Amino acid sequence: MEENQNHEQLGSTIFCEALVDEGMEIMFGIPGGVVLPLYDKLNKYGKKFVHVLPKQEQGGGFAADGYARATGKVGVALGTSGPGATNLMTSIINSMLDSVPVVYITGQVVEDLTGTDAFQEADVIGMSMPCVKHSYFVTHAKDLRRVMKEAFYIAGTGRPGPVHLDITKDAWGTKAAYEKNPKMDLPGYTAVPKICSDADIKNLDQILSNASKPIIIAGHGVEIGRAEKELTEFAERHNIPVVNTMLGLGAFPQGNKLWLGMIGMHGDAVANYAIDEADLVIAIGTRFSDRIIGRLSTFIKDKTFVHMDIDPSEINKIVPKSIPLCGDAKDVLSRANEFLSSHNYAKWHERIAELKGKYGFLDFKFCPEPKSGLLSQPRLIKMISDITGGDAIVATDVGRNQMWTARFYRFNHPNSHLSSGGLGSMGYGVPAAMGAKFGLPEREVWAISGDGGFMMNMQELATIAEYNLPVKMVIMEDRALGMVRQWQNLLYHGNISHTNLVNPDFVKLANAFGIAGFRAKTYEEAEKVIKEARAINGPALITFEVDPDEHVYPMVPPNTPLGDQWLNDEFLTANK
Amino acid sequence: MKKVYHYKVVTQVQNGLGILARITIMLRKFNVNVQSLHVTPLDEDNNFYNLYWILDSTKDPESFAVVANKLERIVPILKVTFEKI
Repeated sequence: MEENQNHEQLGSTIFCEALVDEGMEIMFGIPGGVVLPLYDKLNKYGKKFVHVLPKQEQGGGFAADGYARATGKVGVALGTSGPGATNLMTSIINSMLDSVPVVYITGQVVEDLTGTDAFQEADVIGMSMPCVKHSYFVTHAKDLRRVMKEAFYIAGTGRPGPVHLDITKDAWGTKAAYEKNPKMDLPGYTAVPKICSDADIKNLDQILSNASKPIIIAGHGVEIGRAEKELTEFAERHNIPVVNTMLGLGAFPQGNKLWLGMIGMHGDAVANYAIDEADLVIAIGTRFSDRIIGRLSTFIKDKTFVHMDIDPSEINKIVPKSIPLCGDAKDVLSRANEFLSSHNYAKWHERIAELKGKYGFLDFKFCPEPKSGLLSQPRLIKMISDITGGDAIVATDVGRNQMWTARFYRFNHPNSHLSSGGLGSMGYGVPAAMGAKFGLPEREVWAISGDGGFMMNMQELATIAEYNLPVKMVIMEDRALGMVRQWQNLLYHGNISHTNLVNPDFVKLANAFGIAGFRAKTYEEAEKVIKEARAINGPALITFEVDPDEHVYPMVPPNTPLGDQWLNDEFLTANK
Repeated sequence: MKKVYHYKVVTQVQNGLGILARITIMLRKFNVNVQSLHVTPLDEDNNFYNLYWILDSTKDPESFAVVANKLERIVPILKVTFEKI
C-alpha cells in the first residue's frame, strides 16, 4: 500500500486494497473519465490481480459472469459512468436472473453534478435497482472499505447474485483510514434466512412412501450449493429418476441410469413425459421458470411438490401449496441422506423404460438429417462432446445452438455448462467462455454460438487474441436468427420476417484478429477441424455451415402442457 | 374486471439512501398500487423505521404472500408483515 496502515488513504487506494483483501483475482474493466483516478492507481496493482480490458462493457460483464459460474468465486466487472454503465446493464440482470455472484462497479459524475444531466451522467443506481441483489451509491472514501466487504459478502453468500457499486469521481480523491476487516452493517441480511428442521426432513419419508411415481428436478441451486454428491446419494438411495433444468445440467451424473435428461420447452421427450406422469416432484434449487413448466395448471395437477430452496421467497411463487424444505441444498440433502430410509419404485421404472423405448433417449430420433445437405447442429455438438470427452467447459449463446448443446453435449463435470438461462441474452457465449478460461486456465473451454449471437459480442475476439487465450469458438452458421426463424416457421405460418443474416467471412475475420479460423461443410471436415483447433495452443474459431430450417424438437409451445410437446413429423409418421 | 384487494403492510427497514425506491420498484413489479404510506422512526438515531403501507392489489392473500416474501429479501428490510383489510 502506498500509505501506511491506519493512516488516511485515498479512496482509489482503499478500493484497490479492498479488492486484494476480498480475494479478487481478476477484474474486467474499461476506463473512462470518472474512473481515471482509480486507473491511475490500478497500474500499481498488476502483481496483485489481473485487469483485463474487454472491448465493450457488456463483454466484460458477461466475462465476469462466466468466470463466476465456472469458478464459484465472485466475479468483478467495471465500467465508467453513462454509456459504460448502461452497457453493463444487460449483464447485471443476466447475473440476477441466473443467481450469479458478480460485483459490478460503475463510475459516476462528481457528487455535486449528480442530477444535473452532466456529461456521461446516467442514474444507473435507479436503473439497476430492480436487477440486483443489492446496490450502493458511494460518495466518500470513508464508506468504501465497508461497502466493498458487504458487496462481496452479499454477492457470494446465500442465493448468490449481483451487487452494484456506483462510485462518484470525487470519492476516489477523498481520504479515510483503511480498515482491513471492517464491521459490516447488514441487520436486514441473512444469507440463509430459513433452515428447515430435522423433523421437516423426516416428514419426507412418509411422502416418499405415499408416492408411486416420484421424480427429482435438479436445478442450478444444486451446482451453486456444490451438492452434486449429496443429490446422487439421495436419488440412488430412493431410486428416484432425475431430470435437470437447463442451468442444472451437470448437477447429476449424465451417465447415471436414473438420469432422464433436461425438461422444458426443448427438453428431452422422456423427461417431459415423465414429469407429466409423476405424482411426486422433489424440486431442488429451481425457481420453476415458465420455460420448464409448460402450462402451470397441468404441471401441478395430481402431484405433490416438495420444494428445496435456499431462498424462501421462491417457495409457492409459481407452484402453490408445495411442501417447503428451506435451506442450502448440500445441508438439506445431507440430512435427508442421514435420516431417511430407502425406497424403490420398480413399476415406475418399468414405465420409464417403456417411454425410453418409444421416444428414444440421447439419440437423434427427433433430429433427422437436413435434406438440404447442410450440416446438422445436434450431430456437430455430439461430435464436439465425443472428441472432448465431455470434459470441457462449454459456454453457449441463446437459441438453437443453446438447446442442442444442452441436449447433446454430455457434461461430465458440474458448473461446466455456462448459458444465459433466465435472461436469454444472445452474445453471452464468447465473453463467458473468455471469463471461464481466465478463471480456470487448466480446463478446456469452448464457446458454441449461432452467427447472430456471435456477432453481438464478436469484438471480444480482440481480447482473446491479445491474451492468446486458448478458447475454442464454434459458429453454427445458418445465416439466420435460427430459433426466431423456427418460431416463425411453426407458430407464424412460415412468415419469415427479418431473420435472415448476411454474414462476413468468419474465417477471414478470425484471421484479421490473428486467430486461426476453420470452415467445415462435411462431417469429415468437421471432425478434422475440431481436432486441429484443439491442437492449437491458442484461440481458434470454427464455422460450420448448418441448415437454417433444422428445427429443435421436441418443442413445448408457450402455455402448453409438457405432455403435449410437439414431436417432429418424421418421428410421428414413422411411429403411427 | 379483476377484484382488487386492500392490504396493510408493515415493513421494518434500515434507513438508507433509496430504501423507498427499492420497495416501490418491487411493488411496481407486482403491479401493486400504493394508497398511503406512514413512516415512524423506531430509534432515536433514526437508523430504523417502520413503514406502514396501504396497498391495492389484484392478488388474493395467498398470492400476495409472494410479494411480501420478495419484499423481505430486499437487503435493508428487516421484517415484513401484512394483513388483508
